[in-house]
Amino acid sequence: MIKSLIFKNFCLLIGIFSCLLAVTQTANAASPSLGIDPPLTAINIIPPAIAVSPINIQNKDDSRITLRIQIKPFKANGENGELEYFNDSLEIFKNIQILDANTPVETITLEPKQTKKLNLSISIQQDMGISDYYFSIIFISTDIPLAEASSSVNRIGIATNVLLSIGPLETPKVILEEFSSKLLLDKGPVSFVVRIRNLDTHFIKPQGEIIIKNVFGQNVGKLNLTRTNILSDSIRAIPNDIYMQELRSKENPDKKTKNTYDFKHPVALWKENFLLGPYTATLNISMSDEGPLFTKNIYFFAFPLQALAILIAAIIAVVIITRKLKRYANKNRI
Amino acid sequence: MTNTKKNQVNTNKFKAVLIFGLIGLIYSLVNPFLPQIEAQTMSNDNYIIKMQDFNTVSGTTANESYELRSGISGLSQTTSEGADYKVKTGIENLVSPVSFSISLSSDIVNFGILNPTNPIIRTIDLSINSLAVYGHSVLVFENSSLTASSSANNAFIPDVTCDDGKCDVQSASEWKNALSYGFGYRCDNIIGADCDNSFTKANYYKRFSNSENNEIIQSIMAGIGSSNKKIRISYKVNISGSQAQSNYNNIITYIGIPNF
Repeated sequence: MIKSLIFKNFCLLIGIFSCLLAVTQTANAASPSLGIDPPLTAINIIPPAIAVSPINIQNKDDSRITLRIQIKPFKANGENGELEYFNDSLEIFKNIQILDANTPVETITLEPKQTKKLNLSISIQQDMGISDYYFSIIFISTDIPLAEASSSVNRIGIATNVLLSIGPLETPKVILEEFSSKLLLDKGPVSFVVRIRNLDTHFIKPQGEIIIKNVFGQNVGKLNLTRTNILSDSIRAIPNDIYMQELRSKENPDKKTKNTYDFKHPVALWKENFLLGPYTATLNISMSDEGPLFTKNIYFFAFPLQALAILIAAIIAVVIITRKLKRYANKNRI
Repeated sequence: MTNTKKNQVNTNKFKAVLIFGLIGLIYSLVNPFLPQIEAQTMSNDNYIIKMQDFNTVSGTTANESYELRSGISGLSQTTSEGADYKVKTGIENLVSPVSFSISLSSDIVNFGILNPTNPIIRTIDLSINSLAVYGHSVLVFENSSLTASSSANNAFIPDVTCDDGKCDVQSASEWKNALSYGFGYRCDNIIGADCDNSFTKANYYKRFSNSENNEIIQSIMAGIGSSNKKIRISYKVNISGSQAQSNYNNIITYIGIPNF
């Protein structure tokens, strides 16, 4: 009798538990993830014209996502290619559309893992003046998950940048703001600061190199500068690939060593450790395909104190050993 | 006499070895000066400068009236031409098989029930793949302070100003005191070193830019292009005893932006 009662209660509990399991809904938080390509598009238009460029937007998560499309103008923030948005809505934005299968859209919905190909369409009329416009096309999620307690909802967004030049490209007005290095060094690597100020109406993409010669006039180093965009009325510091590799290699937060190089202030890096005597560094840089070409020499002097100390120590060791050997030889003679 | 000669010969041999050793040492020290390089070519009407090895695979689309360059990145390197246009998409200096991307570990941070002077800290992870670009930043802002969901009262949890009252949207400051109330965040590097340097000290917090007050949007991370960067964002909320009982909510937006 008792056993039967226990069995009934057990069955009842199992039943209630099963019902609760069936009714309870699990609230799964999504892990939003977006990809975009290309991250940068440069367009030059001579009006009147309509330019069309593809944009691929990808939902990398397992949940559907709805994205609102915004266009925001930006300007350079600092000298390393970072940007800063401003709130003005420019007149030209009326001529810019995002097309999904030739239909203008302001929002899109992406299924899990879906990549959608959109088109950026820019229509420029004949009367449009010569100018540059820099803006981002931003895709921001609009979904708001259900919150039953105090919470912060996290929205994700991703941007692609557009550099739009209207009018013919001519020889730009540019100033070589700075080409410098330390004057005295005891060892490498050597950092060269190359800063260009663009006074032109259009953005530019200079191409250049630094050639380093030693006291004998031999070429001992060549640094290819990274091709970067310099917006109209802004300054940009130009790095080289070695600098970027160096930054990446030192970016492990577990390493307690402080980064020698600053991401905010790019430099062209010459990774030569042993340096001795006077050097000449020559910057050759072409500001655009139409010129102008700038050439500038700077000089620096290197004196390797550490290597010299080792050399002196080696010479002293040689002298001491030689003397001891002489004494040993003299002893044997006697 | 024979022994003396032998010793003299040995000493001379030893000297010779030492001199060769010394010459070798000096050569190895001077060696870096010896390698030669070749010049490249750049030219205009007035100059010719020789150069080599520039990667000139930048993408270009053009017709009679416009030219379009998809620079820095591209999933593939392609060239196409039409009757009045030319398309080149490609990679300049950087080759990446993946697009520029951003991921969040969760779309919601649940604080649960808030109790006075009992700070609650919740974390999410943010990852970015920016190998396709020279650098990136992630902007962050809140739509409003944490605001009571019940419309009857307009209660809100203010954005934190930290223990010394000095932290804001740009500067971090220490927030340890359980009697400092508000809502704020901090950033810790997991992979890479993209968090702002002001977060290097423990318990240092900032507050989010509030778009309701038209505050300038701030960057939460910035760095050089990489295949894998990850930060941990800690949200902290602490309320006073006089805070009205309610659920408080807001929206935090993160935007991944490639450098230009």
